[in-house]
Amino acid sequence: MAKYKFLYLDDESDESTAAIADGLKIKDIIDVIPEEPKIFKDEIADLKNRLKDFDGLILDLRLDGKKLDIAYNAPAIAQELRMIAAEGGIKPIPIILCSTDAKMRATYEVEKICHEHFDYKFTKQDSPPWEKFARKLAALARGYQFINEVRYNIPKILNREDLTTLDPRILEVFNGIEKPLPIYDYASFVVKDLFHQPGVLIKEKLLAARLGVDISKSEDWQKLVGGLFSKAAYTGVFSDGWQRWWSDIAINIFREASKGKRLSMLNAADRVKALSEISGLKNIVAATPLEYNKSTNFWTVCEFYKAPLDPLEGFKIHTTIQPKAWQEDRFISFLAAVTKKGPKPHSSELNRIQAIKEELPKK
Amino acid sequence: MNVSKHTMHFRESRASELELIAKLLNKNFNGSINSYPIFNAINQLRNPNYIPTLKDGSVNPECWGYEIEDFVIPVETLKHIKPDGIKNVELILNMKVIANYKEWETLSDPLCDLNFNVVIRGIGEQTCYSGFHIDRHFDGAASIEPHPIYHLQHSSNPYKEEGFDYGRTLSLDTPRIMHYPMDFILGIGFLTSNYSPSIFYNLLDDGTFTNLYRQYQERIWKPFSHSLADHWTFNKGDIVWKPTSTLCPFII
Repeated sequence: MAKYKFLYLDDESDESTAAIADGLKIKDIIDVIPEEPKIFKDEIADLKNRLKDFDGLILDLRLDGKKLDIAYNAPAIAQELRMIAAEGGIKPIPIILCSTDAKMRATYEVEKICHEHFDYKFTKQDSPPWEKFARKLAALARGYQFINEVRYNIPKILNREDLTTLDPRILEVFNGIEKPLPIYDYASFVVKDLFHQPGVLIKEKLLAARLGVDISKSEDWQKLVGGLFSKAAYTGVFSDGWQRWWSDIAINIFREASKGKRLSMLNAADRVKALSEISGLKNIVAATPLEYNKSTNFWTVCEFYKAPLDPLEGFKIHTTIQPKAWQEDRFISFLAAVTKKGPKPHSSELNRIQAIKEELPKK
Repeated sequence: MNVSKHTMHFRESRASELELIAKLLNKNFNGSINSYPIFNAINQLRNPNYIPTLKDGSVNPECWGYEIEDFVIPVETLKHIKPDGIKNVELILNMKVIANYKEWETLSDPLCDLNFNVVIRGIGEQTCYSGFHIDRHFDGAASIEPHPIYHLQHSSNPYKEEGFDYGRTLSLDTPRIMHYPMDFILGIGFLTSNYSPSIFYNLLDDGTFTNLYRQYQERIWKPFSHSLADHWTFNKGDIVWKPTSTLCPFII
């Protein structure tokens, strides 16, 4: 496997920059070359010349170290490079944002900025999951090349032929265009629209919720997803960095194998019973509801506890970027809402949370 | 007149359920519906100054309700449509539901008032109309014909005659067919299963929808069915007419 080379610009002390570069070099998945930023004009000119030798660029959020006359930030460089790449001036490469957690939160709408210019962001934290970050960065570098290799062909990018069964709005932006959009648009669509928000693709915990399974108690979980549901696994671009499943394929596999039963109509115990009968696997255990909840007709997960949840017992969360009509909302459980853990609930849910709180039996 | 905190809490839950169905419909109809009328209904539920007026003109702050105006659903079942040449058909739903929140978890009539009015509009050489409504009969209304409390009335070609000139449709009152009560969520199941079956099946594959649908069947259909069944004495074990889906395919 080729080792992908990332240029890393950061104005922090040499030691902390070197520590991050070393961290990301874990298991030799990617190579990272740290550098101090130059003044904006020189930096852009330099990157234009040198980026052809790299497969990706990592930028610290604020490049305002003492050696620079005028401070600038990562989005300014990213935006400039995206423009130059779109005009063909440089090779398109993934651009990754990193910063300390505090800086990420303090900065004005970092979420939005990241959404517009970056492929991925990670926070400098105490003990970062370096391997996870490195795998995602390698997947992005490989994916950028792959999108170019398959000539922007959407079924090949997603590695799925029967895309007509999906909501036509999802891929509309790529239909009927005279020339391909910039690679970043394809990459950003897959990572941000398909991976980061549940919809046609779902994460393992959400798949487990829909199958009614408690992963932690089910020794045969891997056998189940790797066997019966293997065809539902997403194998398209970036799948080596992000593990996802096609929700519609998983639902159809269950219906066909169970001779017409619908996951959506069964509770967790009945889903698991059917799964055991179909697969012959005995060590699959039905998930149970979180405290305060009763329903096991799970269809979503609590974003804080990552536990199965019936959306009727959940509360929509507040998001900076409004989900698209074809994406699903994300929820938190009452337990998370009442203990103020995890994401903020959507403002339209506050009265309902308050009402349920007031109706709780006094302890 | 003040709406109590309890009533507002209850209305808040119904509002958030309508939000769930609005999101689902936006998702499953692939953008071909406008959910604005649902959000008007949601605002009514959340607005403490909105107290629905009952048919006798009275208002009761324990009553909740909403109105859906001109909610349009595209029709995909065009196979047997007459006259020939009709290309584009849509349902226009106008509905009003009022209920007392204290009856929500009882086996009593869950609703105080219901108008579920559907206009079917087809466009061909000329615009053709058909329609039906499901009503709750107002206890105080004087009428000669006996009215089942919930009934459906519609107009159509009674002999299913080939080449029937629909311009000659005789307009007179059709029988009042007994019908179970509906809110917007149950109504969506009823309308999509009949007129947009592929959307209905997609909705059935979505656990959020089936969970909503099951809850509203339990609250609105169960009291109706149990009360009707209770007219006769019976043993549950003697019921052989199963499964329920043969009686009504959209009971889940």
